[in-house]
Amino acid sequence: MSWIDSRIDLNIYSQGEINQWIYSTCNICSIGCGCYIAVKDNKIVGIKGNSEHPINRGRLDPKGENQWYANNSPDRLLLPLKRDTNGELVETTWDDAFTILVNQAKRALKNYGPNGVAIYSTGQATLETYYTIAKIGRAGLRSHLLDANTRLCTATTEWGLLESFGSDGVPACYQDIDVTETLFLIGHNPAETGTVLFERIMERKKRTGKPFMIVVDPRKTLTAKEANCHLQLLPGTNVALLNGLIHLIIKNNDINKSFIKQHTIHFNQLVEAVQEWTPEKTAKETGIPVKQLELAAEQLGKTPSLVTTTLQGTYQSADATTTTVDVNNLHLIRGLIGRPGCGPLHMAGQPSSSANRTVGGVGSYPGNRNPNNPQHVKEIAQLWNVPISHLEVGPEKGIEEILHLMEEENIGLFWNIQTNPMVSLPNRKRAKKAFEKTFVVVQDPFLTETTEVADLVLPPAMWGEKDGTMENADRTINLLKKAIDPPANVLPDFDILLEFARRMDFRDRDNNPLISYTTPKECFEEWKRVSKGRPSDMSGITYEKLEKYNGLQWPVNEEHPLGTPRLYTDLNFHTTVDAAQSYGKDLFNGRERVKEEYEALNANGKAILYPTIYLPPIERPSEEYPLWLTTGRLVWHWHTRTKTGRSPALQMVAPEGYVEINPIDADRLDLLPGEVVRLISARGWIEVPTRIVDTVQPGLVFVPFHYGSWEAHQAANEITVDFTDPLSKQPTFKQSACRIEKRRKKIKITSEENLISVAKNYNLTVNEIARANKMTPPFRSDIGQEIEIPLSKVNVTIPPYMPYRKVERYPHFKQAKFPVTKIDLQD
Amino acid sequence: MNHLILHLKKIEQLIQLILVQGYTNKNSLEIMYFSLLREEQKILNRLMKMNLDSLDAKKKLKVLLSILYRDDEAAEPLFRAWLRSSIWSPSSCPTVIERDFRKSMFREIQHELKETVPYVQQIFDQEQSRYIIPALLRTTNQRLSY
Ligand code: SF4
Repeated sequence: MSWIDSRIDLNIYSQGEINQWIYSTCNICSIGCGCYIAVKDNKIVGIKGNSEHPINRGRLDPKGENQWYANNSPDRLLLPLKRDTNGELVETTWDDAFTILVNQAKRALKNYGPNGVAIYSTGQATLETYYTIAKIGRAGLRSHLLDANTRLCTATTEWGLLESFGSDGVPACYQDIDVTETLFLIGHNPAETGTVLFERIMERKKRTGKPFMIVVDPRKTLTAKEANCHLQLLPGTNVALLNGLIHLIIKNNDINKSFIKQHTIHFNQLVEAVQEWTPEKTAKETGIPVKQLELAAEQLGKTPSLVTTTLQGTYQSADATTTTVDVNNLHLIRGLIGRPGCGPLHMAGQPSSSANRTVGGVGSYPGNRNPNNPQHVKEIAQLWNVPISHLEVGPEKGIEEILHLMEEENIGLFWNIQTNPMVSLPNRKRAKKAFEKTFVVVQDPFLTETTEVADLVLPPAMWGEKDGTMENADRTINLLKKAIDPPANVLPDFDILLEFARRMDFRDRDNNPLISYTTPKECFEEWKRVSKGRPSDMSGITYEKLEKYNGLQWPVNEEHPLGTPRLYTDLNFHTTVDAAQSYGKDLFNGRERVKEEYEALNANGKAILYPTIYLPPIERPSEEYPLWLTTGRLVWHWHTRTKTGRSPALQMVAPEGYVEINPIDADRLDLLPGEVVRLISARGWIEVPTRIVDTVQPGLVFVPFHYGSWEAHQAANEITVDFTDPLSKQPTFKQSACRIEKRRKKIKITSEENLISVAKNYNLTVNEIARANKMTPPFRSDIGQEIEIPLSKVNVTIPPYMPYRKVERYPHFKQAKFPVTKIDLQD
Repeated sequence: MNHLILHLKKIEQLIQLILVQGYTNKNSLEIMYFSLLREEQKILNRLMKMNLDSLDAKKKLKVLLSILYRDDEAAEPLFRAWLRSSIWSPSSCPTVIERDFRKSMFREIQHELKETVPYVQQIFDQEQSRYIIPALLRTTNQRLSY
């Protein structure tokens, strides 16, 4: 049972009564919380949780509650901008902007061919927008260079699922978390990234003691702090750990033999692969003591139900897809899938990244179709009424590959929709150089780091200003209704795409316009026809039903008119040659399988087990760069802060970047808390204040990636590596190497000074000077003695956010009560 | 067909030169793309030894060529990543000469693979060859005018 009761979280700022509440869905993360938007005088003035929505029962977290401020931000772009001959962005009309866009698209197609245009979209738009991108991109432009920032977020989810089960679509759902005995979270920190889901988990745990939680994370995250067992592994060793655990589970004979025989293939290959992963070897590689490994294996081996979640600690790490497949292996050998409380729940990051995968905006084929299966391609050609030769075949290309094409000057137009890659892409300096080599269109409500490299900027409508649907992390399709009109001269992404298609004069076989729908609702009706009969069948959905039932989980069709919470209850997987969404890739090196190889597997509806080979992270600490660098999110911000940075509350609580460093390392380097240090990697450097905390293990530093301004030098992605997983092409943000350099000046003590006066001059304490200079008491300051003074020091206080701790006694986060601090929430 | 075989032979020789050089830093990237080069080598040998008069020759040819192209498609980004990693890890990096040698080998392999495209398109029709030859290899020079 989800939630014992409802609690309506509310954040309004309005003088006088509001006019109306409009049904919507939170547009920040992939949990998919239902909400209502408060409207007064055609202006968004607040938000409240939807108490009827089963996902959140009214709850919202700080990001959810504060997302609407950005809509009213005074620095919103209200007209398109074009770069003039002086290199300045200047305002222009939509007519002019469309002319520039269309001319450039035509030029690119003429000079470079169909793959001379790339569209890079987002995980925050609507399903209808993505579907339109897919149709325009594939059938109009005939390109297959369609990607999105979902590549940085959920590409690995897709590939893990394709490999094991033949199709995208997470087997388990949130309802399974509510009843499972054991919850295994691998590189997933919902306490900060999917806060309402974590509150839901903790509400049950506080009440019943269940589920038993095992958390795999190299950091002591807020999630790990609540775990029954925290496996604090060394960075980049997920596969070593899972191989070791599976080794023990097989050794203890905790496997479901009849399930394996009836519903899987390749068990023997798996057994062989994990044979070498003895507890001792696993302990050595992962840094986790044998005893703890045995405890975890015992729990995972004996538990009658299990849900495993994965997120960026898996997807953005070395061996990303292999880890995801390892999780699937674990569930399959234990037969824990397709029934209540059981199954892998590979998460998504953004609110609708899953929709982009499902409908094909990210280069996948719409409706879980296989781009290498001529029959599937033919179906799409028929549905869209275009010649089959217009639809490019083959798997999608990731952003790293598109960047390479830009570097090689093979792209004539890069259309960037609602994302900020100049902050979010790894090794961003390389990305910037690539962007500078092509014509870049940026569709964004604000000036961002990416508009700095744009030739044309189109201002789109924001959340609350358009209709549409989104798909969350557990296949729930949610509705968002337009609450207000966008500002004058601002258009929804959907309308921009439609106008582009009209001006490009894209036509179908009968010479009718390629895009015949005119509203998101009509578009959804077309999508329903495209999805019919496929795994992600949405033919049974209407906007009205979505509102009435507060979201529906696909497939929704005649057989399942109210949706399907859990997949594979019949234990029939999509692994027949005709059904499979992909023939898969070699798990070791990413080589795409051909049809005949897939046929030879003879899976025929059984799930596929894989031998999983551990390959250590590519970049590791060295003499020159002795520290592991990992990056991640804060509870207070989302991605590149384009929206959350415009909420006064969120910005105030976490205004700038920092680096977390373990006290042992800080001691070794004589660092002060808050001292601004330079982090240097082989790619570049940043300067951020230190936070000396034991959430990171010795030898590891953590930098939040939200802060990306070109001037402030705090962008984590200035120093990350841009390697990618060979299957999913997701970048491995989580493992780079770096070193720390102190930013200090040396002064000599004069005859008029002593330590106390020096400390006072530089706003430090004597103890801080002593620590920074490794002095031992009694502290002496001899004339002429040289001491080091930190150039800059910042007080970094990032309050944790843990509403579940005192749900009953303490009110939830409120902007009026701001700032929420540790003291507010702790005992 | 003879022309195709000539290009395949050239590719086989180029790959052989890389494999003979062996690992330089044996990092995960090098291990991965070496596994692909080895597979390419095997496929090329089978292609060159194929009895083209056999009944199922065309079917086999399709499978082997498809695998060959896909090996290259997977190896190329791994190789590029390896080049970057080599520059960033001075302590375990290959020499500039080794790097440049490999770069030129990969470039030539790419060039040769591109050269095979028209021959493959002759053997199989345009529609079939779309499923054999990866899009970027096939379409880079295809211009569209609206
Ligand atoms: S958990 Fe995610 S969806 Fe829910 S309110 Fe927070 S940000 Fe929004």
